[in-house]
Amino acid sequence: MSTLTATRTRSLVETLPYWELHDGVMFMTDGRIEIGVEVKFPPAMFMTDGSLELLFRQLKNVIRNAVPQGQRLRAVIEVAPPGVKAIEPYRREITTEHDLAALLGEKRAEYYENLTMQPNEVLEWRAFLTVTLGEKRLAANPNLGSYMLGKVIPAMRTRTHVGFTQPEFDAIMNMAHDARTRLTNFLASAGFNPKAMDSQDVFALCFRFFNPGLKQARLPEYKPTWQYSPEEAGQKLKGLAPPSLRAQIAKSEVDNAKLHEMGLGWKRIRMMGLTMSPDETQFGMINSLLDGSGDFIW
Amino acid sequence: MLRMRVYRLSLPITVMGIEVWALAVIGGATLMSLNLYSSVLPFFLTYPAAGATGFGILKVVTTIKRHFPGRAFNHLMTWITSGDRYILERETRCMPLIITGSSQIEQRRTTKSALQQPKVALQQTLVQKE
Repeated sequence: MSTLTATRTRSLVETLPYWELHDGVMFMTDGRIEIGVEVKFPPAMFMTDGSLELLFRQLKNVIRNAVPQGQRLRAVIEVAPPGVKAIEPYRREITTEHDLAALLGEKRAEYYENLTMQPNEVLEWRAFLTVTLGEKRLAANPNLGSYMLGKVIPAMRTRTHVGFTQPEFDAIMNMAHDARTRLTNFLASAGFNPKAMDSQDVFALCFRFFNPGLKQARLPEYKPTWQYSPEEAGQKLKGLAPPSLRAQIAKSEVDNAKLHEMGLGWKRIRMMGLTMSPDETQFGMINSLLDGSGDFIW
Repeated sequence: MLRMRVYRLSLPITVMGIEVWALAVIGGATLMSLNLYSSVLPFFLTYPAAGATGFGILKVVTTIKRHFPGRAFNHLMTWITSGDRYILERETRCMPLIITGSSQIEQRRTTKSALQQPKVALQQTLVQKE
């Protein structure tokens, strides 16, 4: 490996900012936390313009009121084939006593199940809202000088993973639970049918995000880190591979050699950035992105 | 189709529908081309030709701005400074979320003493044998 290639090749595990998951709260390496809520948007197909506008205003109010000052909200929309299990509710509704009607229902369900096997015929939309909370906890003041020094001298790198004492930890968990409850209540009152994500949900979302090629298989269960080692041990003992959260998430290599696309495992991801922003938005303006014409679009 | 305003993302300052930087481009290009054409073209053609040249240069600059927007510069810099390939390596940091000791300094001391423990234990056993 040439020197240029070596400098452009980095460790994915070291790059991921995740530290630990606790009760549905994601702790970042820089000490901030992030909470998540899964939202089921009502289908817009049968809504009038007035109800759409009302829904939109409510969503805007939620974003304005439920996100604390200085934090960011990220919306992740996942469009993916749901598999055969998505047809199960339709099959469950066949409760007729007439044989012919039951047969018709069965045949229809079978037809839909066969459709789910075809690529991009049946797609499921899921939306997740994640909000960051708290402040950064770094061992040094991160400015350009210290950053560049840290690049040259690894010992002077800004130290992350600054742990919490028990009272601090309790306070930050209380804050996270309060924020999550507030966000959930706001969304529920706006009619969005929210569901607070637990640790396994957050882990599954991260795993599907970083491993699109592996998500059709059975997702692994999140195992809370069961052994710890001091920092010196991890650097000196080459055979040690601690089972941290990001080591459990990172299972696919990332190819970032091209500007407008990214390789994640054996999948290619198309990326779009809104560099020329429109003056006003339009309902359903990203629908053409989410129709499944590509493989997976996030 | 239902159209709704979310936020006004761009608030350009315009004079008669033309942005200030565009006015500066038109003015500069017109003045420079007027100076150039005054020695080349007959007098009655210099002003219209200079105006047309200024307009054309504005179109060129607008096209360049559209294809290479300034907002994409940050993305470009981020991409250049990030790695080409992120490979799967072992985790080197696995620190507990909750510190059990009173401070991190104490935590580090305990790790060092833990590394020194085998020697002490060996010495103790030797003393016991004697």
